[in-house]
Amino acid sequence: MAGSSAYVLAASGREAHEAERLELLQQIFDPTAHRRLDLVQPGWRCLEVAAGRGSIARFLSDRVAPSGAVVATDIDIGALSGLDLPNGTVIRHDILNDPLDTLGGAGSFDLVHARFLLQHLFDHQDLAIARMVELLKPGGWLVIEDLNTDTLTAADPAHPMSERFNQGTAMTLAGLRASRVVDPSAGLALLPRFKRAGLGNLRHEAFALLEQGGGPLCRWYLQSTEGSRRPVDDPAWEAAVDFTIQALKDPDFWLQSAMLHCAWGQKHNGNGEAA
Amino acid sequence: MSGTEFESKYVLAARGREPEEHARLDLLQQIFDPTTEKRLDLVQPGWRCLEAGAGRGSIARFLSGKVGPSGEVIAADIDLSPSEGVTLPNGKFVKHNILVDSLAPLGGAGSFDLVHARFLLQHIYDHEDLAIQRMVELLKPGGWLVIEDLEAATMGAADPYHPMSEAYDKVIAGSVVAMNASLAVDPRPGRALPPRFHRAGLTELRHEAFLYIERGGSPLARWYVQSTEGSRRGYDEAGYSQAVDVTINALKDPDFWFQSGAFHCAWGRKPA
Repeated sequence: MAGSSAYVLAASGREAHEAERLELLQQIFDPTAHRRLDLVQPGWRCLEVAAGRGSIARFLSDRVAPSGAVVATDIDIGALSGLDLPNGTVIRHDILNDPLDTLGGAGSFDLVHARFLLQHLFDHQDLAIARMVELLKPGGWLVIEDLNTDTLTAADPAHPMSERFNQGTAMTLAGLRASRVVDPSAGLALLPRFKRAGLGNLRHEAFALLEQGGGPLCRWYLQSTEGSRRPVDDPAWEAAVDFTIQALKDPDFWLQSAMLHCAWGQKHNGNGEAA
Repeated sequence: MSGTEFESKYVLAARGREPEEHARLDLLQQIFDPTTEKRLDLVQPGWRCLEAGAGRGSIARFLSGKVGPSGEVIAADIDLSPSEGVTLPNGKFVKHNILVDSLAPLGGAGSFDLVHARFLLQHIYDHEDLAIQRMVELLKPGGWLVIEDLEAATMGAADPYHPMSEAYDKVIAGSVVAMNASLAVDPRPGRALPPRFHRAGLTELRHEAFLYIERGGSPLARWYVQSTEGSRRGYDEAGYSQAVDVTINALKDPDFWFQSGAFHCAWGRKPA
């Protein structure tokens, strides 16, 4: 069985902290996601994979209303319990392993969207994309957002914490990559993966934000760092994480965010052409 | 501090390879002008604008149109040969080095509503704060500084499965290290723009940065090939000729996917 059990930010045992972290995630990234999902039309049937706390499922529900429908899935639907959508369904589902029938089956969606999901599937990203494409109707759209941490660095060469911050970040990201649990570069390869999955009309954008310590993005990084922190028998690692957290709280410290990638691709219609 | 110290390091000087360099700058304009024009949307009729590092002059001409007959545009560069034949109905081209030359020929301190510079800071490594300080000096109170520059750290292969990806990444990583060591080109001037603006006393700071994922043979790929070939002599002398061949071959292969540098822009306003 691939994937699901390794999720490093599982809410179990830290529900309140994880709820706060996901709220902040929505506050920071939802305006961008709304813009990126501007193509969605009334009447569409949409799937939100890894719906988290459900804000994007709610947005899609409004966009497709009244004749459309939204299915919101996650491997943990605890955070979706309060989501009451007139035209929506919440389903506990693992995109890598569970049958597609429960979601409506192959060829049943006009749009499949997933944000910050692929990074947690490491070696199974192509499989996840293949299954999402399978769920699309001919002419349907796959829209995937994910990060590439290559830009996650101190922005100010003159700040005394910058060099050590960059060293610590490089070390923790290399550790993450080596763990094969989280892929810190998931956003980078979206387009070639979409191409190989047979999607057409490919489009892509990626941007980064710059922010001073204490800002919303810094707080989110801080919560994500603390939320995924496990006791490690490595004083250098512990010191690096402590230092990272300290820098993210310092308003004189400037941070460049990870790159926020998005790729769009359209499933070919029956004639073998992009619709 | 001498002027020649700065001028001599410009790795893409046109001298002796004018046709190639002019073609490279034309492609640069084709790729980046739509973005720059959007970023300069704040410019109003009647403004007095400075374009520092004006190159072939397309942005100076764009500004000239935006400010109209009641405004004025000064286009400055250390080398005016790329803009030969370009005219501004309400402005002029001035040979000028922002780091060392007197500000008087441009109109002097406090004389501009906007100062804009694109891909200039990367070529004045270690003197970026000085350049920003002098540009701020040229602004009227309430005037805007808008600077665009690159971040090479994001350059790399985008497809983990392509056979050339690993070699390409190695060469890019090596050339970023070499750029750093040369002190001629700063590979990451983009990300430091907001903190530098903050230190220069500018307010109402705004910033954006984005990048492209493209395939070999695209306009951006061709521009990278031309920029690499244009500065090739330096690489060859340093023993990197094989490495340069790797990047050029990859950038010509339509099956090769790559990530561009990041295109940063910062806006800041001089306090009134």
